[in-house]
Amino acid sequence: MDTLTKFLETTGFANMTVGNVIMIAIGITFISLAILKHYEPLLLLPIGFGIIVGNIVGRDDMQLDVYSSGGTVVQDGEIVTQKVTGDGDVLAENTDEEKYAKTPVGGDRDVREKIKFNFGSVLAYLYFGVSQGIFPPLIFLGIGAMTDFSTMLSNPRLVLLGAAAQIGVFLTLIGALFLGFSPQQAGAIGIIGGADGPTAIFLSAKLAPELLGAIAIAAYSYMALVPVIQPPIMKLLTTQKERLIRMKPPRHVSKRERIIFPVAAFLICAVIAPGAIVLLGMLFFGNLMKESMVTERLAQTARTALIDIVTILLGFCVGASTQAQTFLKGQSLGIFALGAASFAVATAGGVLFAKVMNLFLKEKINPLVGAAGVSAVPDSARVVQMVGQQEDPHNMLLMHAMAPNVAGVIGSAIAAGVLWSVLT
Amino acid sequence: MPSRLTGQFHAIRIDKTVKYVMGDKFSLQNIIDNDGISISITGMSIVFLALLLISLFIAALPHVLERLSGILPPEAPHAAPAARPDPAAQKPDEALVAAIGFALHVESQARKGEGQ
Repeated sequence: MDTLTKFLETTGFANMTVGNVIMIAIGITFISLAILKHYEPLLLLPIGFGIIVGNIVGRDDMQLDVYSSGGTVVQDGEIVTQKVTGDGDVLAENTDEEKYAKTPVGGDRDVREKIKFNFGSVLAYLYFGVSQGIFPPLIFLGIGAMTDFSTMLSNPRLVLLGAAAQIGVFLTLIGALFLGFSPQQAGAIGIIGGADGPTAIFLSAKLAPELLGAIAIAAYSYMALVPVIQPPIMKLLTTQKERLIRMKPPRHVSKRERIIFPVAAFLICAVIAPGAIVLLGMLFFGNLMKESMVTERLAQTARTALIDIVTILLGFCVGASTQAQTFLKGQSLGIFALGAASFAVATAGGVLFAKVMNLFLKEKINPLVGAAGVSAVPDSARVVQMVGQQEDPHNMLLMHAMAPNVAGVIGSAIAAGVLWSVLT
Repeated sequence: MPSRLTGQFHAIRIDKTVKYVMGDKFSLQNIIDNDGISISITGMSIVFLALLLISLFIAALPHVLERLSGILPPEAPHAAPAARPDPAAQKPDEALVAAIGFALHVESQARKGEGQ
Protein backbone atom coordinates (compact mmCIF):
# COMPACT_ATOMS: atom_id res chain seq x y z
CA MET A 1 0.00 0.00 0.00
CA ASP A 2 2.89 2.35 0.84
CA THR A 3 4.43 1.56 -2.52
CA LEU A 4 1.18 2.35 -4.30
CA THR A 5 0.82 5.59 -2.37
CA LYS A 6 4.37 6.53 -3.16
CA PHE A 7 3.80 5.84 -6.86
CA LEU A 8 0.58 7.85 -6.92
CA GLU A 9 2.48 10.80 -5.51
CA THR A 10 4.76 10.72 -8.53
CA THR A 11 2.00 10.76 -11.10
CA GLY A 12 1.01 13.82 -13.06
CA PHE A 13 -2.43 13.79 -11.46
CA ALA A 14 -1.01 14.39 -8.00
CA ASN A 15 1.15 17.34 -9.02
CA MET A 16 -0.83 18.98 -11.79
CA THR A 17 -2.44 22.36 -11.27
CA VAL A 18 -5.20 24.18 -13.13
CA GLY A 19 -2.49 26.25 -14.76
CA ASN A 20 -0.86 23.15 -16.19
CA VAL A 21 -4.18 22.07 -17.66
CA ILE A 22 -4.60 25.50 -19.27
CA MET A 23 -1.12 25.30 -20.74
CA ILE A 24 -1.75 21.82 -22.11
CA ALA A 25 -4.89 23.20 -23.77
CA ILE A 26 -2.77 25.99 -25.27
CA GLY A 27 -0.30 23.42 -26.56
CA ILE A 28 -3.09 21.45 -28.19
CA THR A 29 -4.39 24.68 -29.72
CA PHE A 30 -0.97 25.41 -31.22
CA ILE A 31 -0.80 21.93 -32.69
CA SER A 32 -4.28 22.32 -34.13
CA LEU A 33 -3.40 25.66 -35.71
CA ALA A 34 -0.30 24.12 -37.22
CA ILE A 35 -2.04 21.09 -38.68
CA LEU A 36 -5.46 22.43 -39.59
CA LYS A 37 -4.66 26.04 -40.53
CA HIS A 38 -1.01 25.61 -41.56
CA TYR A 39 0.02 28.53 -39.35
CA GLU A 40 3.83 28.29 -39.16
CA PRO A 41 3.69 24.51 -38.71
CA LEU A 42 7.46 24.07 -38.53
CA LEU A 43 7.43 26.11 -35.34
CA LEU A 44 4.00 25.81 -33.78
CA LEU A 45 3.92 22.02 -33.86
CA PRO A 46 7.20 21.48 -31.94
CA ILE A 47 6.36 24.34 -29.59
CA GLY A 48 2.85 23.04 -29.00
CA PHE A 49 4.02 19.54 -28.20
CA GLY A 50 6.78 20.92 -26.03
CA ILE A 51 4.19 22.86 -24.04
CA ILE A 52 2.30 19.65 -23.40
CA VAL A 53 5.46 17.81 -22.32
CA GLY A 54 6.62 20.65 -20.11
CA ASN A 55 3.33 20.85 -18.23
CA ILE A 56 3.12 17.25 -17.12
CA VAL A 57 4.48 17.68 -13.62
CA GLY A 58 6.29 14.92 -11.81
CA ARG A 59 7.78 14.91 -8.34
CA ASP A 60 10.40 17.60 -7.80
CA ASP A 61 13.28 15.25 -7.14
CA MET A 62 12.63 13.17 -10.25
CA GLN A 63 14.44 15.79 -12.36
CA LEU A 64 12.15 15.68 -15.37
CA ASP A 65 11.82 19.21 -16.68
CA VAL A 66 14.06 21.57 -18.63
CA TYR A 67 15.07 23.38 -15.47
CA SER A 68 16.38 20.30 -13.64
CA SER A 69 20.00 20.74 -14.45
CA GLY A 70 21.36 18.49 -11.72
CA GLY A 71 24.84 18.78 -10.28
CA THR A 72 26.08 19.14 -6.73
CA VAL A 73 27.06 22.02 -4.54
CA VAL A 74 28.81 22.12 -1.24
CA GLN A 75 27.21 24.11 1.48
CA ASP A 76 29.00 24.63 4.77
CA GLY A 77 31.17 21.63 4.10
CA GLU A 78 28.28 19.38 3.19
CA ILE A 79 27.43 18.16 -0.27
CA VAL A 80 23.90 19.00 -1.30
CA THR A 81 21.97 18.80 -4.54
CA GLN A 82 20.87 21.86 -6.42
CA LYS A 83 17.98 22.60 -8.67
CA VAL A 84 17.33 25.66 -10.77
CA THR A 85 13.67 26.55 -10.82
CA GLY A 86 11.73 28.06 -13.66
CA ASP A 87 12.04 31.48 -12.05
CA GLY A 88 15.80 31.18 -12.14
CA ASP A 89 16.16 30.72 -8.40
CA VAL A 90 18.74 28.23 -7.27
CA LEU A 91 17.46 25.89 -4.63
CA ALA A 92 19.94 24.02 -2.55
CA GLU A 93 18.39 21.18 -0.70
CA ASN A 94 19.99 18.91 1.77
CA THR A 95 19.95 15.48 0.33
CA ASP A 96 17.87 12.65 1.62
CA GLU A 97 19.99 10.64 4.00
CA GLU A 98 18.52 7.46 2.70
CA LYS A 99 19.90 8.11 -0.75
CA TYR A 100 22.99 10.18 -0.21
CA ALA A 101 25.82 10.38 2.28
CA LYS A 102 26.69 13.75 3.74
CA THR A 103 30.37 14.32 3.99
CA PRO A 104 32.68 17.30 4.30
CA VAL A 105 34.77 18.18 1.31
CA GLY A 106 37.92 16.09 1.38
CA GLY A 107 36.30 13.52 3.58
CA ASP A 108 36.46 9.77 3.37
CA ARG A 109 36.67 8.64 -0.23
CA ASP A 110 34.55 5.56 0.26
CA VAL A 111 31.82 7.70 1.72
CA ARG A 112 31.99 10.21 -1.07
CA GLU A 113 31.73 7.50 -3.67
CA LYS A 114 28.43 6.49 -2.19
CA ILE A 115 27.01 9.84 -3.09
CA LYS A 116 24.68 9.60 -6.03
CA PHE A 117 25.51 12.25 -8.56
CA ASN A 118 22.40 13.89 -9.96
CA PHE A 119 22.78 14.32 -13.70
CA GLY A 120 19.57 16.23 -14.20
CA SER A 121 16.92 15.89 -16.87
CA VAL A 122 17.53 14.99 -20.52
CA LEU A 123 15.35 17.94 -21.41
CA ALA A 124 17.69 20.17 -19.43
CA TYR A 125 20.58 19.04 -21.59
CA LEU A 126 18.60 19.81 -24.74
CA TYR A 127 17.47 23.11 -23.25
CA PHE A 128 21.11 23.99 -22.74
CA GLY A 129 21.19 24.90 -26.43
CA VAL A 130 18.42 27.43 -25.84
CA SER A 131 19.49 28.79 -22.48
CA GLN A 132 23.10 29.28 -23.55
CA GLY A 133 22.20 30.77 -26.92
CA ILE A 134 23.65 27.94 -29.03
CA PHE A 135 20.68 27.11 -31.22
CA PRO A 136 19.86 30.60 -32.58
CA PRO A 137 23.25 31.15 -34.23
CA LEU A 138 23.01 27.71 -35.86
CA ILE A 139 19.62 28.67 -37.25
CA PHE A 140 21.15 31.88 -38.56
CA LEU A 141 23.78 29.77 -40.31
CA GLY A 142 21.03 27.97 -42.16
CA ILE A 143 19.18 31.21 -42.87
CA GLY A 144 22.32 32.70 -44.38
CA ALA A 145 22.76 29.64 -46.56
CA MET A 146 19.27 30.05 -48.00
CA THR A 147 19.09 33.86 -48.24
CA ASP A 148 19.56 35.68 -51.53
CA PHE A 149 20.89 39.18 -50.88
CA SER A 150 20.87 40.11 -54.58
CA THR A 151 17.68 42.20 -54.34
CA MET A 152 19.26 44.16 -51.53
CA LEU A 153 22.49 44.52 -53.51
CA SER A 154 20.60 45.78 -56.54
CA ASN A 155 18.83 48.57 -54.64
CA PRO A 156 20.85 49.65 -51.61
CA ARG A 157 18.42 52.44 -50.69
CA LEU A 158 15.95 49.86 -49.47
CA VAL A 159 18.41 48.73 -46.78
CA LEU A 160 17.45 51.82 -44.80
CA LEU A 161 13.85 50.62 -44.59
CA GLY A 162 15.13 47.58 -42.68
CA ALA A 163 16.81 49.97 -40.26
CA ALA A 164 13.69 52.10 -39.87
CA ALA A 165 11.57 49.12 -38.92
CA GLN A 166 13.78 48.49 -35.89
CA ILE A 167 12.07 51.48 -34.25
CA GLY A 168 9.61 48.86 -33.04
CA VAL A 169 12.34 47.30 -30.90
CA PHE A 170 13.30 50.47 -29.08
CA LEU A 171 9.83 51.96 -28.62
CA THR A 172 8.74 48.62 -27.16
CA LEU A 173 11.70 48.76 -24.83
CA ILE A 174 10.43 52.13 -23.61
CA GLY A 175 6.93 50.70 -23.23
CA ALA A 176 8.25 47.79 -21.18
CA LEU A 177 10.15 50.14 -18.91
CA PHE A 178 6.94 52.15 -18.45
CA LEU A 179 5.17 48.97 -17.34
CA GLY A 180 7.82 48.43 -14.69
CA PHE A 181 9.97 45.70 -16.25
CA SER A 182 13.67 45.82 -15.49
CA PRO A 183 16.00 47.21 -18.20
CA GLN A 184 17.21 43.71 -19.08
CA GLN A 185 13.67 42.40 -19.33
CA ALA A 186 12.61 45.44 -21.33
CA GLY A 187 15.44 44.83 -23.80
CA ALA A 188 14.46 41.18 -24.20
CA ILE A 189 10.80 42.13 -24.70
CA GLY A 190 11.69 44.91 -27.12
CA ILE A 191 13.49 42.56 -29.49
CA ILE A 192 10.14 40.95 -30.26
CA GLY A 193 9.70 43.98 -32.50
CA GLY A 194 12.58 42.69 -34.60
CA ALA A 195 10.21 39.91 -35.68
CA ASP A 196 13.06 37.44 -35.64
CA GLY A 197 12.51 34.31 -33.55
CA PRO A 198 16.14 33.17 -33.15
CA THR A 199 17.24 36.71 -32.30
CA ALA A 200 14.48 37.04 -29.70
CA ILE A 201 15.42 33.72 -28.11
CA PHE A 202 19.13 34.55 -28.19
CA LEU A 203 18.71 37.94 -26.52
CA SER A 204 16.22 36.81 -23.92
CA ALA A 205 18.49 33.88 -23.01
CA LYS A 206 21.25 36.43 -22.35
CA LEU A 207 19.26 39.18 -20.68
CA ALA A 208 16.10 37.70 -19.19
CA PRO A 209 16.02 33.91 -19.25
CA GLU A 210 13.05 33.88 -16.90
CA LEU A 211 10.96 35.47 -19.66
CA LEU A 212 12.32 33.32 -22.49
CA GLY A 213 9.24 31.14 -22.83
CA ALA A 214 6.77 34.01 -22.95
CA ILE A 215 8.94 36.05 -25.32
CA ALA A 216 9.49 33.13 -27.70
CA ILE A 217 5.80 32.26 -27.76
CA ALA A 218 4.89 35.91 -28.36
CA ALA A 219 7.48 36.36 -31.10
CA TYR A 220 6.53 33.25 -33.06
CA SER A 221 2.81 33.81 -32.57
CA TYR A 222 2.96 37.32 -33.95
CA MET A 223 5.20 36.24 -36.83
CA ALA A 224 2.46 33.82 -37.79
CA LEU A 225 -0.04 36.70 -37.57
CA VAL A 226 1.92 39.08 -39.83
CA PRO A 227 -0.70 38.73 -42.62
CA VAL A 228 -3.30 39.88 -40.09
CA ILE A 229 -1.39 42.63 -38.29
CA GLN A 230 0.32 44.43 -41.16
CA PRO A 231 -2.25 45.11 -43.93
CA PRO A 232 -4.53 47.47 -41.95
CA ILE A 233 -1.55 49.53 -40.82
CA MET A 234 -0.12 49.64 -44.35
CA LYS A 235 -3.41 50.84 -45.81
CA LEU A 236 -3.93 53.35 -43.03
CA LEU A 237 -0.57 55.04 -43.57
CA THR A 238 -0.53 55.13 -47.38
CA THR A 239 -2.69 56.71 -50.06
CA GLN A 240 -3.98 54.80 -53.04
CA LYS A 241 -1.67 56.80 -55.31
CA GLU A 242 1.32 55.74 -53.23
CA ARG A 243 0.29 52.10 -53.27
CA LEU A 244 0.18 52.22 -57.08
CA ILE A 245 3.84 53.30 -57.41
CA ARG A 246 5.75 50.93 -59.65
CA MET A 247 9.46 50.46 -59.04
CA LYS A 248 12.23 49.84 -61.54
CA PRO A 249 13.18 46.17 -61.95
CA PRO A 250 16.27 45.20 -59.92
CA ARG A 251 19.61 45.23 -61.75
CA HIS A 252 21.81 42.22 -62.33
CA VAL A 253 24.21 41.57 -59.47
CA SER A 254 27.57 40.03 -60.31
CA LYS A 255 29.06 36.99 -58.64
CA ARG A 256 31.91 39.08 -57.22
CA GLU A 257 29.46 41.39 -55.47
CA ARG A 258 27.63 38.45 -53.96
CA ILE A 259 30.88 36.99 -52.62
CA ILE A 260 32.38 40.22 -51.33
CA PHE A 261 29.17 41.39 -49.66
CA PRO A 262 28.94 38.90 -46.74
CA VAL A 263 32.57 39.44 -45.75
CA ALA A 264 32.39 43.21 -45.95
CA ALA A 265 28.98 43.48 -44.31
CA PHE A 266 30.10 41.30 -41.42
CA LEU A 267 33.19 43.44 -40.87
CA ILE A 268 31.10 46.62 -40.87
CA CYS A 269 28.50 45.25 -38.45
CA ALA A 270 30.93 43.49 -36.12
CA VAL A 271 33.18 46.52 -35.73
CA ILE A 272 30.24 48.81 -34.99
CA ALA A 273 28.28 46.41 -32.78
CA PRO A 274 30.46 43.55 -31.50
CA GLY A 275 27.46 42.12 -29.64
CA ALA A 276 26.13 41.08 -33.04
CA ILE A 277 29.20 39.00 -33.89
CA VAL A 278 27.63 35.66 -33.03
CA LEU A 279 24.40 36.01 -34.97
CA LEU A 280 25.68 37.98 -37.94
CA GLY A 281 28.87 35.96 -38.15
CA MET A 282 26.86 32.80 -38.67
CA LEU A 283 24.43 34.54 -41.01
CA PHE A 284 27.12 35.84 -43.33
CA PHE A 285 29.19 32.68 -43.04
CA GLY A 286 26.23 30.68 -44.29
CA ASN A 287 25.67 33.17 -47.09
CA LEU A 288 29.30 33.03 -48.15
CA MET A 289 29.14 29.24 -48.28
CA LYS A 290 26.16 29.58 -50.60
CA GLU A 291 27.49 32.31 -52.85
CA SER A 292 31.06 31.03 -53.18
CA MET A 293 29.78 27.98 -55.10
CA VAL A 294 32.73 25.94 -53.81
CA THR A 295 31.07 24.69 -50.62
CA GLU A 296 27.69 23.78 -52.03
CA ARG A 297 27.56 20.59 -49.98
CA LEU A 298 28.09 22.51 -46.75
CA ALA A 299 25.56 25.15 -47.73
CA GLN A 300 23.06 22.47 -48.64
CA THR A 301 23.51 20.81 -45.24
CA ALA A 302 23.20 24.13 -43.41
CA ARG A 303 19.94 25.12 -45.11
CA THR A 304 18.33 21.68 -44.88
CA ALA A 305 19.43 19.11 -42.32
CA LEU A 306 21.14 21.41 -39.83
CA ILE A 307 18.43 24.04 -39.65
CA ASP A 308 15.72 21.37 -39.45
CA ILE A 309 17.43 19.57 -36.56
CA VAL A 310 17.98 22.77 -34.63
CA THR A 311 14.44 23.99 -35.34
CA ILE A 312 13.02 20.77 -33.91
CA LEU A 313 15.08 20.98 -30.75
CA LEU A 314 14.61 24.72 -30.33
CA GLY A 315 10.85 24.67 -30.80
CA PHE A 316 10.36 21.68 -28.54
CA CYS A 317 12.57 23.02 -25.75
CA VAL A 318 11.05 26.49 -25.88
CA GLY A 319 7.62 24.92 -25.56
CA ALA A 320 8.75 22.69 -22.71
CA SER A 321 10.08 25.72 -20.85
CA THR A 322 6.66 27.38 -20.73
CA GLN A 323 5.51 25.75 -17.54
CA ALA A 324 2.36 27.16 -16.00
CA GLN A 325 4.24 28.33 -12.92
CA THR A 326 6.47 30.57 -15.04
CA PHE A 327 4.21 31.39 -17.98
CA LEU A 328 0.76 32.07 -16.56
CA LYS A 329 1.55 35.32 -14.85
CA GLY A 330 0.33 38.86 -15.31
CA GLN A 331 3.64 39.83 -16.85
CA SER A 332 3.07 37.37 -19.70
CA LEU A 333 -0.03 39.34 -20.67
CA GLY A 334 2.08 42.47 -20.60
CA ILE A 335 4.63 40.77 -22.87
CA PHE A 336 1.95 39.72 -25.34
CA ALA A 337 0.48 43.20 -25.43
CA LEU A 338 3.90 44.75 -25.96
CA GLY A 339 4.69 42.19 -28.65
CA ALA A 340 1.61 43.13 -30.66
CA ALA A 341 2.46 46.80 -30.26
CA SER A 342 6.05 46.20 -31.37
CA PHE A 343 4.96 44.59 -34.65
CA ALA A 344 2.55 47.43 -35.35
CA VAL A 345 5.13 50.10 -34.58
CA ALA A 346 7.79 48.36 -36.67
CA THR A 347 5.43 48.16 -39.64
CA ALA A 348 4.49 51.80 -39.27
CA GLY A 349 8.13 52.80 -38.91
CA GLY A 350 9.14 51.17 -42.17
CA VAL A 351 6.19 52.57 -44.14
CA LEU A 352 6.59 56.10 -42.80
CA PHE A 353 10.33 56.14 -43.44
CA ALA A 354 9.71 55.14 -47.05
CA LYS A 355 7.36 58.11 -47.38
CA VAL A 356 10.03 60.39 -45.91
CA MET A 357 12.61 59.03 -48.35
CA ASN A 358 10.24 59.76 -51.24
CA LEU A 359 10.43 63.45 -50.35
CA PHE A 360 14.07 63.41 -51.48
CA LEU A 361 14.12 60.77 -54.21
CA LYS A 362 13.44 61.14 -57.90
CA GLU A 363 12.73 57.44 -58.34
CA LYS A 364 10.02 56.90 -55.79
CA ILE A 365 9.79 53.91 -53.51
CA ASN A 366 6.41 52.24 -53.05
CA PRO A 367 5.85 52.89 -49.30
CA LEU A 368 4.27 49.47 -48.88
CA VAL A 369 7.75 48.02 -49.30
CA GLY A 370 8.73 49.67 -46.01
CA ALA A 371 6.49 47.24 -44.13
CA ALA A 372 8.81 44.45 -45.22
CA GLY A 373 11.51 45.90 -42.98
CA VAL A 374 9.86 43.76 -40.32
CA SER A 375 12.18 40.81 -40.66
CA ALA A 376 9.59 38.05 -40.78
CA VAL A 377 11.16 36.55 -43.90
CA PRO A 378 9.45 36.00 -46.32
CA ASP A 379 5.97 36.51 -44.89
CA SER A 380 6.07 40.28 -44.65
CA ALA A 381 7.41 40.52 -48.23
CA ARG A 382 4.48 38.38 -49.35
CA VAL A 383 2.09 40.66 -47.46
CA VAL A 384 3.53 43.65 -49.33
CA GLN A 385 2.99 41.84 -52.63
CA MET A 386 -0.57 40.96 -51.65
CA VAL A 387 -1.54 44.48 -50.54
CA GLY A 388 0.10 46.00 -53.61
CA GLN A 389 -1.74 43.66 -55.95
CA GLN A 390 -5.06 44.58 -54.36
CA GLU A 391 -4.55 48.01 -55.96
CA ASP A 392 -2.74 46.91 -59.13
CA PRO A 393 -2.65 43.17 -59.95
CA HIS A 394 0.31 43.72 -62.27
CA ASN A 395 2.50 45.51 -59.73
CA MET A 396 5.22 43.02 -58.71
CA LEU A 397 6.58 44.22 -55.39
CA LEU A 398 7.78 40.91 -53.96
CA MET A 399 11.39 41.12 -55.13
CA HIS A 400 11.64 44.76 -54.08
CA ALA A 401 10.19 43.89 -50.67
CA MET A 402 12.77 41.16 -50.14
CA ALA A 403 15.48 43.83 -49.89
CA PRO A 404 14.24 45.51 -46.69
CA ASN A 405 13.10 42.10 -45.49
CA VAL A 406 16.63 40.67 -45.39
CA ALA A 407 18.03 44.03 -44.30
CA GLY A 408 15.67 43.80 -41.35
CA VAL A 409 17.27 40.50 -40.34
CA ILE A 410 20.62 42.27 -40.21
CA GLY A 411 19.09 45.26 -38.43
CA SER A 412 17.40 43.18 -35.74
CA ALA A 413 20.62 41.27 -35.09
CA ILE A 414 22.50 44.56 -34.71
CA ALA A 415 19.77 45.86 -32.38
CA ALA A 416 20.12 42.68 -30.31
CA GLY A 417 23.87 43.10 -30.18
CA VAL A 418 23.53 46.70 -29.05
CA LEU A 419 21.02 45.83 -26.33
CA TRP A 420 23.18 42.95 -25.15
CA SER A 421 26.22 45.21 -24.93
CA VAL A 422 24.43 48.04 -23.18
CA LEU A 423 22.22 46.11 -20.79
CA THR A 424 24.56 43.35 -19.59
CA MET B 1 11.99 29.75 -0.99
CA PRO B 2 15.56 29.83 -2.22
CA SER B 3 18.14 29.02 0.37
CA ARG B 4 21.30 31.06 0.54
CA LEU B 5 24.36 29.31 -0.76
CA THR B 6 27.46 29.92 1.32
CA GLY B 7 30.76 28.20 1.61
CA GLN B 8 32.58 26.42 -1.13
CA PHE B 9 30.95 25.70 -4.47
CA HIS B 10 31.59 22.74 -6.73
CA ALA B 11 28.54 23.28 -8.85
CA ILE B 12 28.43 22.36 -12.48
CA ARG B 13 26.18 25.28 -13.32
CA ILE B 14 24.39 27.77 -11.22
CA ASP B 15 21.94 30.19 -12.70
CA LYS B 16 21.68 33.36 -10.76
CA THR B 17 19.15 35.55 -12.43
CA VAL B 18 17.80 38.70 -10.96
CA LYS B 19 14.20 38.10 -10.21
CA TYR B 20 11.95 40.96 -11.29
CA VAL B 21 8.28 41.16 -11.82
CA MET B 22 6.22 43.67 -13.73
CA GLY B 23 5.95 46.63 -11.43
CA ASP B 24 2.85 47.67 -9.62
CA LYS B 25 3.28 51.25 -10.76
CA PHE B 26 3.17 52.21 -14.39
CA SER B 27 5.21 55.34 -14.49
CA LEU B 28 7.19 57.50 -16.86
CA GLN B 29 9.71 57.76 -14.05
CA ASN B 30 10.63 54.13 -14.74
CA ILE B 31 11.76 55.19 -18.20
CA ILE B 32 13.77 58.11 -16.88
CA ASP B 33 15.36 56.14 -14.06
CA ASN B 34 16.54 53.43 -16.46
CA ASP B 35 17.77 55.74 -19.24
CA GLY B 36 15.20 54.35 -21.63
CA ILE B 37 15.26 57.31 -24.00
CA SER B 38 19.05 57.45 -24.28
CA ILE B 39 19.29 53.68 -24.81
CA SER B 40 16.66 53.87 -27.55
CA ILE B 41 18.23 56.82 -29.33
CA THR B 42 21.69 55.26 -29.10
CA GLY B 43 20.45 51.89 -30.29
CA MET B 44 18.54 53.28 -33.26
CA SER B 45 21.51 55.45 -34.21
CA ILE B 46 23.86 52.48 -34.19
CA VAL B 47 21.45 50.36 -36.25
CA PHE B 48 21.02 53.16 -38.75
CA LEU B 49 24.74 53.84 -38.90
CA ALA B 50 25.59 50.20 -39.57
CA LEU B 51 22.96 49.76 -42.27
CA LEU B 52 23.79 53.13 -43.80
CA LEU B 53 27.42 52.09 -44.11
CA ILE B 54 26.35 48.79 -45.64
CA SER B 55 24.10 50.65 -48.06
CA LEU B 56 26.91 53.00 -49.08
CA PHE B 57 29.29 50.08 -49.49
CA ILE B 58 26.82 48.25 -51.71
CA ALA B 59 26.29 51.38 -53.81
CA ALA B 60 30.03 51.90 -54.23
CA LEU B 61 30.97 48.28 -54.84
CA PRO B 62 30.04 48.04 -58.55
CA HIS B 63 32.01 51.22 -59.31
CA VAL B 64 35.04 49.97 -57.40
CA LEU B 65 34.92 46.62 -59.17
CA GLU B 66 34.62 48.40 -62.51
CA ARG B 67 37.72 50.43 -61.74
CA LEU B 68 39.59 47.29 -60.74
CA SER B 69 38.37 45.27 -63.71
CA GLY B 70 41.71 45.75 -65.41
CA ILE B 71 43.52 44.12 -62.52
CA LEU B 72 41.07 41.44 -61.49
CA PRO B 73 40.71 38.25 -63.56
CA PRO B 74 37.64 38.03 -65.77
CA GLU B 75 34.63 36.87 -63.88
CA ALA B 76 33.16 33.43 -64.58
CA PRO B 77 29.37 33.49 -65.01
CA HIS B 78 27.51 33.01 -61.73
CA ALA B 79 26.02 29.72 -62.81
CA ALA B 80 23.91 27.46 -60.69
CA PRO B 81 25.48 24.11 -59.75
CA ALA B 82 25.47 21.62 -62.63
CA ALA B 83 22.11 20.00 -62.80
CA ARG B 84 22.05 16.33 -62.08
CA PRO B 85 21.29 14.23 -65.20
CA ASP B 86 17.65 13.32 -65.48
CA PRO B 87 17.48 9.56 -65.13
CA ALA B 88 14.39 9.49 -67.32
CA ALA B 89 16.20 11.26 -70.12
CA GLN B 90 19.18 8.95 -70.11
CA LYS B 91 19.40 6.26 -72.78
CA PRO B 92 19.46 2.85 -71.15
CA ASP B 93 22.56 0.76 -71.63
CA GLU B 94 21.48 -1.70 -74.35
CA ALA B 95 23.79 -4.46 -73.22
CA LEU B 96 22.45 -4.16 -69.69
CA VAL B 97 18.87 -4.30 -70.88
CA ALA B 98 19.67 -7.39 -72.96
CA ALA B 99 21.30 -9.09 -69.98
CA ILE B 100 18.31 -8.34 -67.74
CA GLY B 101 15.91 -9.60 -70.38
CA PHE B 102 17.88 -12.82 -70.78
CA ALA B 103 17.96 -13.39 -67.01
CA LEU B 104 14.21 -12.88 -66.75
CA HIS B 105 13.67 -15.26 -69.67
CA VAL B 106 15.79 -17.94 -68.03
CA GLU B 107 13.96 -17.46 -64.75
CA SER B 108 10.55 -17.75 -66.35
CA GLN B 109 11.61 -20.87 -68.25
CA ALA B 110 12.87 -22.41 -65.01
CA ARG B 111 9.54 -21.75 -63.29
CA LYS B 112 7.63 -23.30 -66.17
CA GLY B 113 9.80 -26.37 -65.83
CA GLU B 114 9.06 -26.60 -62.09
CA GLY B 115 5.33 -26.20 -62.72
CA GLN B 116 5.39 -29.09 -65.10
